Amino acid sequence: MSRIALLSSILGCLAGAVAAAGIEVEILRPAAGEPLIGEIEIVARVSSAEPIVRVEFSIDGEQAGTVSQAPYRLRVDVGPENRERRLAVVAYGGEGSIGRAERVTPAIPIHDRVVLDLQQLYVTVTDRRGRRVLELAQQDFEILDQTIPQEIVTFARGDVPFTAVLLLDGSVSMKGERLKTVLRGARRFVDDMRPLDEAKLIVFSDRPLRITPFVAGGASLAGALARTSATGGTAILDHLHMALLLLEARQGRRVVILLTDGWDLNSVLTPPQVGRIARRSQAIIYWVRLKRDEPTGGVALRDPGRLIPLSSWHDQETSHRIYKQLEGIVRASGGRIVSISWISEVGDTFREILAELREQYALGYYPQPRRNDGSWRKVRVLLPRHGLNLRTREGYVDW
Amino acid sequence: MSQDSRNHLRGSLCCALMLGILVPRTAAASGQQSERPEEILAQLLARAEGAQIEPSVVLEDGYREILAAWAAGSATAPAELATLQQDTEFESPRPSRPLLSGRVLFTDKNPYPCWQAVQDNTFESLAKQEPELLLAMAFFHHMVYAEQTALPLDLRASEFTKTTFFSLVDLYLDRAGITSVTRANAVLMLIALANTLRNLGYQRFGKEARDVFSEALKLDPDNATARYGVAFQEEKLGNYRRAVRHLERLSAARGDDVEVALRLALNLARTGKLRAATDALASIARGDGPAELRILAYQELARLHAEEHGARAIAYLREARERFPQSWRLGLQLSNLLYRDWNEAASLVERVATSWEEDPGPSLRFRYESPRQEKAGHARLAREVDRLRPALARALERLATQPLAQRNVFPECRGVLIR
Repeated sequence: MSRIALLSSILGCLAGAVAAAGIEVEILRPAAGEPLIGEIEIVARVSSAEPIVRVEFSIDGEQAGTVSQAPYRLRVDVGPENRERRLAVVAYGGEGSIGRAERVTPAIPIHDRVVLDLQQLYVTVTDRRGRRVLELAQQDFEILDQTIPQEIVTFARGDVPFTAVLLLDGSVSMKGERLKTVLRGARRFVDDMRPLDEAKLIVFSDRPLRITPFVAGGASLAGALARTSATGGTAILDHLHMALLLLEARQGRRVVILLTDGWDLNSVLTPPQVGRIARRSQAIIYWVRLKRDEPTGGVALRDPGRLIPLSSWHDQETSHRIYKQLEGIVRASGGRIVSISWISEVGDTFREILAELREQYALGYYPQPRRNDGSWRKVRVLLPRHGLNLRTREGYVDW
Repeated sequence: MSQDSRNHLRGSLCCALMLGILVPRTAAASGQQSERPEEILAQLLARAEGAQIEPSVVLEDGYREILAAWAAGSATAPAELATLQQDTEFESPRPSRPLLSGRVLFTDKNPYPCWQAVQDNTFESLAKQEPELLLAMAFFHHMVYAEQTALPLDLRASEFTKTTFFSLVDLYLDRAGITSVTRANAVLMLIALANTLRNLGYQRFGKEARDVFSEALKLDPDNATARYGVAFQEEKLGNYRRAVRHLERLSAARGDDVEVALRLALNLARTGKLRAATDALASIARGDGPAELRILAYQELARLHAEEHGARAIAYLREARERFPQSWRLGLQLSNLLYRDWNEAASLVERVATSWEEDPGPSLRFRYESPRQEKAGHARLAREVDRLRPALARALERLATQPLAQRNVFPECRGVLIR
């Protein structure tokens, strides 16, 4: 390879885009530095004066697929192995020109302090009436890490992309219109997401009933959710754990939106076990709790949810404790619990959560001092000069 | 219509109107009636001309008509009685359905004392003809109970039918005499009811189910189904020591029953006997019993060790996955314990998430919550009841020909029938 070609290739790798003979190719997704694992979507933008006849995608030199017209998106399963991968996108023009872009994606850094050094805190600020406050500046905030003041090095406000798992209770008590309404709300949530946001839907009962791939904002989920019907018991913790682990493989802001209408009777995992994963994942958890005393046909049903169901797996006291511990996990994540009385409120609740996500502050800092011993570090964010309320996660695991 | 009857009707209507119940139902039924109370009253009085206004007789006719249909083989008769009884509840939220040729207005909200009197009268009359018919009646009311409890709204009706069922079983043993046959039948009936009770949504009747199983066990202390039922319910109620006592007796009698052994091991753990529980669970997990019970045993072994002996818990789950590689739940549990080995944990969960296509069916932990059913006993009972149906039909026919004047009129039925 000539020096010029070599230099061009290196620059291409760095920039993620190469212009050749009038065809420009840019890899939009995965983002630079994002590891590839499992099912992913590759998105490329091709700019050219001449018609494009095909765009080929390859991973580690092996062809992954071809797309013959825009949009140039390809969904592919790269397998579960966590390692570095070389992604290439080549566009072929009708007049023989070729454009090419490459990106080397890293392995997920498991014990890599460099990545974890920067702590990102997503902060929701509200006034006394509960309205979100959006006009604050970096200097308004203070961060205490184990009571030690920290220097804020990154500050953003507004629409930071997120990856969400919508974890929806599909147990038998959600049968019929209840689940349909929830799924409609979830689809709407995905519709309203921005193109760089991503979401996966998991409908669960005592087992997963439906799991969609991660999809970008605006993607249609109608087909993926067809024939999903409510059945079975409830294993909230097991599926929350699953959601958290799936999110951990994703970069950036992670969110779980959990919707349930009952008690956890069938999980094998315990709240402390799931709480550990939640702390490590740093995902923000929203828990939408649907009450059961829903009027039907004009007359209120008795509320069986007020009675803790009997379970072979734990007594009622334990069921109640699990519920309370789950509340603790949610609060520690910087999320919140939303109790709703009517199934028809689900859509608005999802929209409100989406609005909240768009109106969070993102504060970054390099914690000082570090221990890297796996201990829990308590974090507080303060707004010393304002009588405002704020919510963020309670800390992080110091690896 | 006598003045007394008119006063009775007026009083009933006033009561119903005061309760705020009559007007919407009546207006909704006609679609054209005025909502002014005096006009409604006038209309109803005009309609009642020549009508039989004693509700107990009418309810009894309706009840026996449904029974006769069931004796003739109607499968929908239990549901019809459930609907009919619910319709006599003014607060029923379901759409109104005409009761025979009219509508009963009760002076209070509770029609069940009246239904009780009507039914008891029928039971007594049938028992005089043939005490065995009470078994068929108990079976019928068990099915009515199942219908009522399928409707989440009607707890009062189902409570009433449950009481009916108990008095029928008592009456059956009393009138037919306690023999080995009648005792066995009564036990089967009790077990059938207990199974219905514990299958109810949210297990609201866990204690009642336990008590009914206990009644069956008193009648037949060697009945393994009844004892297992008691143990199962005690476990659900959190009475683990009591569950252990019953399960130990069952285990001594039926040592090869892996499900009993698993339940015993789980309850031993809950009562603090961890060593005995661990040994029993390991024996089940590595034994040759059904796969689902072995997987559950592995999961519990891992749970018991997860907090203090994480490495051992992981070892149990790895061993389990070698034997049952398709079990996604084992993988999920293992992924949680691999806290410091994120790569493997993520890959386990990814495998579950990306390979999911359709509902895989109930999880093992969910199935463990569902009691096993004594199908053979229930089938035997059903056959016995089928044999009794022609005799029941004949007996009901004889009751139907009873002159009106000789019918009992019950003071519990405080209300009127309006045609």
